[in-house]
Amino acid sequence: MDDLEFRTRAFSNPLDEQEDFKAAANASPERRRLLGELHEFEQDLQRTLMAVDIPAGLKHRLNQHARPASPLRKRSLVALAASVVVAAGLTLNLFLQPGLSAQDLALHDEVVEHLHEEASDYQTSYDNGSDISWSQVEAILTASGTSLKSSDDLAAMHMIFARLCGVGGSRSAHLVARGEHGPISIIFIRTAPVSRGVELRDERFHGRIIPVDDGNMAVIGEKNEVLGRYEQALRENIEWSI
Amino acid sequence: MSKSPVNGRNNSDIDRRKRYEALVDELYQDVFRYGYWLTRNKGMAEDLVQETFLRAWRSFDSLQNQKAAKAWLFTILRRENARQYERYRPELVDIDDVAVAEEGTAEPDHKQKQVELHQAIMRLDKDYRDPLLLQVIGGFSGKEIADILDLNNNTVMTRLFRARNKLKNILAPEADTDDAGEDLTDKITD
Repeated sequence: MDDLEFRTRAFSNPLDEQEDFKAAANASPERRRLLGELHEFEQDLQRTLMAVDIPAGLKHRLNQHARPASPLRKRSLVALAASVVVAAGLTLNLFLQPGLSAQDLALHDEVVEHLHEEASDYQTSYDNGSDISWSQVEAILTASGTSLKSSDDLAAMHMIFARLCGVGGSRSAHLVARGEHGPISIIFIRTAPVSRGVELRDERFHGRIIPVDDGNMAVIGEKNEVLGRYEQALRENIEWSI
Repeated sequence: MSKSPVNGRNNSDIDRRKRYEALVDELYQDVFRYGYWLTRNKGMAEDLVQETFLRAWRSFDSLQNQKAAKAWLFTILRRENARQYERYRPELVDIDDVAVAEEGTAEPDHKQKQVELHQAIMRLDKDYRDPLLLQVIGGFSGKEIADILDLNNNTVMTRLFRARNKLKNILAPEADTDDAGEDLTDKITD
């Protein structure tokens, strides 16, 4: 094995255990020195790549996939089914109000359904008291084609959840902030703006979907949560970047 | 084909669940690390890992060989990443987004070194970073990496060579090393 081949193999896999490689490494002090350096570098590389904080409770959440539906989960499914029925009724109710199109009503129903589906996930983060960083939020916003200008009002918000979702048929950003009485969902939906603000009708949640520039924003919390200041701060700072 | 250690009509649901939980226990940390380095975002990584294990659970009976479980999970995660994020997200290299986990015993110099290496890895082109992540985090051989990335073995070994070479050059540009290896891949074995 010539020096060039040895060097190539050493860089490709410094931990190569094949006999011909080990023999080649011992053929000269220069090769042993190079391999020693690469072993040291490999340790740094391993240490760096492995130094990632694993989210607390992740293992437990993964194990839940294999658990039969718990009574709580069953209740949430029943609640979801009930909410769909309620939403269907609400659609009729809302439809009788002037100014809302069929698309507005469909978006309302989709948001309600999505919130009931996701609530158990972000409720856990709320209960655990675990926040996420703004860089995580920004990554989701970027992926959804939106961004938020920095402001003191926004900086004061504690974010606990950020995920892309399919509400509105687009790549929407679903953020959740820590409210005083529970999680507050903020969904940026890049679809045609609703005709006017759509008040949410649901037994658990309240809030509304409002048109903002080229898209829609939903700010939704538990029944007793005051949402106005969140809505204002977000509306003033959102930018549709795509 | 060898008899599946997982598949089996006589396996009870409890047994199946225990095997799944053993799989989670053994591999979830590495799968998360890989997801993090692929997306460079912890929130996205967690979503991907959740989706990966959910799909794994649903298809658990199709796992024919327990030894292949790790490659199986990494492949699911890669596909899910491509499906959910990659198509929509430009290849961002945010060298300020350094999230080195706290190590209680880390010396300041060591910590600084780790931060610099972290940033250098972030700057690597995806073609070079991908096989390196699979080799170091996943512990996969060149052949296994080739299968996961759908490349030939020589291409993988060349990219691994270049990945380390580029990292060293980023970290110590004054000691710029030749980008050899281009014409030697036929001599590399795994």
